[in-house]
Amino acid sequence: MTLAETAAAIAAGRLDPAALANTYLARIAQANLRLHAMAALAPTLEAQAKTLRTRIARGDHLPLAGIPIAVKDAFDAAGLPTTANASLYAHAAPATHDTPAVARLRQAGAIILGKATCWEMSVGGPSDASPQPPAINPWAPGADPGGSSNGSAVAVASGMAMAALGGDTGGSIRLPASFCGLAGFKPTHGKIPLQGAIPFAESLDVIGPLARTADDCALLHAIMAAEPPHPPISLHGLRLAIPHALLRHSPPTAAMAEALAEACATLERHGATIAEAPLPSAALFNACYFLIARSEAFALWRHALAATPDKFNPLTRRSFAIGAMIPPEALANATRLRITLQTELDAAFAHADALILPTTPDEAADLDFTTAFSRPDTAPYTRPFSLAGVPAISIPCALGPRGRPLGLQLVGRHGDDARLLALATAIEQALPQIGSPKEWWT
Amino acid sequence: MESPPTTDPTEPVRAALARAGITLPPEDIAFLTAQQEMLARTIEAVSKAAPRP
Repeated sequence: MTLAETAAAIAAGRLDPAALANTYLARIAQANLRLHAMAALAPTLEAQAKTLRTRIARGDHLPLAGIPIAVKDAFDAAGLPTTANASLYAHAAPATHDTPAVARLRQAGAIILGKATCWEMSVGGPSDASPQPPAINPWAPGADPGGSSNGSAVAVASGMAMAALGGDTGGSIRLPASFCGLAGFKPTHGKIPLQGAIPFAESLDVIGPLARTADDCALLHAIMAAEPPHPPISLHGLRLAIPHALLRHSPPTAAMAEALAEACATLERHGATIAEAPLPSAALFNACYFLIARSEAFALWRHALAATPDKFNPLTRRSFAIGAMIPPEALANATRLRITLQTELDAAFAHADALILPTTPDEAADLDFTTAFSRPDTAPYTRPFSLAGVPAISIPCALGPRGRPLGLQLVGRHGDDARLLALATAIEQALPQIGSPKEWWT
Repeated sequence: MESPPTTDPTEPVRAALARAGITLPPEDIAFLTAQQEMLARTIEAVSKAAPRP
């Protein structure tokens, strides 16, 4: 069932919210020991369900009535500590307030199940030197679920939650969504307030949903951003464009390239047109992103790095410390270049409704902590759109040679979030379903 | 005979961290030192492409 169908069943009294939450708790009890998705469970599930029943009886409008949602452990949810999987916050007191996105979900009737793990401080990579064990991709034992919002993705993909909140600075929602066979949406920067979120780089950070479908993401986004969903969009006459220059700079694997070509052929058969998106400065997006992200992160965390360097794992520590080596004039240059690149990307939409490209160059690799500092770059196609601040979504499109999901990324104009989500829903419905992972963890 | 002056490749990293009051383990210094060339290329590419103020 979709989120809307489930919420309607609960609001109509056909499904009890406590019974549904308990079903998910049972799945967490069964799967979390192997998959390590959930870092903490809310102690208030029965109370949340009781409040919900009262609101249903009162006739409140509850588009997410009883939907069990996991929240990335970098965002405040009242009653639970926010740790970002870091020793720095190992003894954090429970949050007294919700971050606005969580508050809006609760207001719409959602049940907050608990906190989902993530890469330490949402940066660096998977590590066995952080307080929480690394999450495992349910598509294969030992597979990397991506990051940083990996607990959120693993929880949804394995049925521990119906949906989850993630954070995205350079791909941290879209990458785990792609690797775990889900839809993951990065909204336009600034659409959803960030109070109560542990930051990485504030001019890039966003909060967004991960769910089974783009349609589910659209419902969650409409509530979190307080903007109405876009009416359904037809594929007939839809203009899509591939930023080939970006792909030439960081080529996808043959399997990923083939999956993109097959998806485009399917969409053309449904009446869409596919063109090339001009992006002459493609090679500069990632360089510009790097200087801005690392400078901002260093500015935020330099005092903690100076006072308690041992409170970070080496990946996080080095990711933050590299910002010390970026001179202020380099950041100033990157800030000016960013505006030029945003303008160039705007121009790419002159003849396109959306860009279409892979989310990542390849399917998920195996987790391997011995190569933590030399892993292939998984985010060359996601960071450019974080830099530009535009909305982007990953949806599943195929399985790779190892039977792990491949994701397709759709990118919209700045502020055009609801339309992009409607467009992604239409595209998702035209593409073949990849199914769900086999439950090897039970 | 005077020996040629030696340069410590870790020195720029140590100096940058020292300015921020940060002391990191030798493994971190070695890692950051190895990133200097990549970082210099990145800074140069962005500097060349950025519009003048």
